[in-house]
Amino acid sequence: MTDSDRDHIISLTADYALGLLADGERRRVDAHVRQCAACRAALRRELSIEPLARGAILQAARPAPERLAAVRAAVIPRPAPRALPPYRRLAPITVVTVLMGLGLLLGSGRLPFAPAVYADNTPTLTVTHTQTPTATLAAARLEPAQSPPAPAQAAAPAPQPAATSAAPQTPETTPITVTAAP
Amino acid sequence: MNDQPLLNWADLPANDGAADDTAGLIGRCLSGEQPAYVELYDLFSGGVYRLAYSLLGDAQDAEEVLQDSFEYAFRRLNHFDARKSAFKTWLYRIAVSRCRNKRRRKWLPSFSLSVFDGDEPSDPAAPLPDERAQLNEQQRVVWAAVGELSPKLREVAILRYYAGLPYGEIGIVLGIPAKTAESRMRLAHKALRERLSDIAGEE
Repeated sequence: MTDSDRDHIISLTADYALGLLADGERRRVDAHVRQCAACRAALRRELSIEPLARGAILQAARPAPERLAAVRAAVIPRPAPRALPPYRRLAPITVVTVLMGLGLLLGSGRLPFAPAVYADNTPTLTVTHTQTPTATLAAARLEPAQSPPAPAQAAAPAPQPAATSAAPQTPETTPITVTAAP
Repeated sequence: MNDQPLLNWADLPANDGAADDTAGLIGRCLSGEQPAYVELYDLFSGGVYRLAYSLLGDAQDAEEVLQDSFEYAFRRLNHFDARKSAFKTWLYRIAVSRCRNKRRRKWLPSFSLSVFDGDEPSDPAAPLPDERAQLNEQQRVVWAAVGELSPKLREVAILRYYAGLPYGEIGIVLGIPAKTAESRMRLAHKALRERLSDIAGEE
């Protein structure tokens, strides 16, 4: 063993203690210090630093349990109010939407189980409205041309316009004069 | 002669030993289980406090860092990515960042006041009198030596010696490359060895 070997090994002892040596170098140091008291002592010095530092830190920076508990009370998140699952949150909207859809379908008569009054070939509300007095008045105005002649008038000549003018005037035939406002 | 190596590497603190437990705890936290938050806090609060106290040297500052760190970590727990780092590494990174902010804020006023008062700035890592009383003579010397390290070297030394982090994770915590962490650790170790030459290597 030469002095240069010893110097080289001693230069590696710090890295050995710090875990910075590759496996091969570490084995070389292990083998050397078994035979060399000086290098073994140097390695022990290096290795003693870590437990000394750790022991001092553990003792000096020891937290008081009551202080840790006080901080714990401040940092633990409070339980959030239990959130409803999405299907529960959307339930009211779903119910309203379904009811509105059903109402629309029922109103349009497109449902197979729709009430009979709205089924095909039945009078609808629109048809009922066409048989209003207005339609009746229009029919009455056309009555002379469309209705069959009365038995008493069958042989009589066609009615004169004067007779027609004697009939009571309907609102539809009354002339209306519209004057512009000054 | 004993054939055993002087340092048994298997004895070094491992970071992945409790990884599964931690992952389970985090999962329970995210599902809203409050007792899981308590367990997670109890598991790591001591380490965060010690780290903060070792870096700042003030119990109240360390408590504030502890509280800030856990509040932030719990609020952002869903952002933790176990594929990138261990939970402890992530948490220590949060704590170190807050320690740096606090040190920066405290340094400015204390510097200006000490100039006018003529007082020496207090050693940031010096324990308070009551805490100092709990240390034996050797621990007091070592603690003072750790406190004399520059903040950059002290960060690396504490993360290595106390927390037992590998250099890659020290780099993640400090935001530096692993090689930089290694070289800082060499400097810190050398400084401590020189200051502790009287007691280092004693049986």
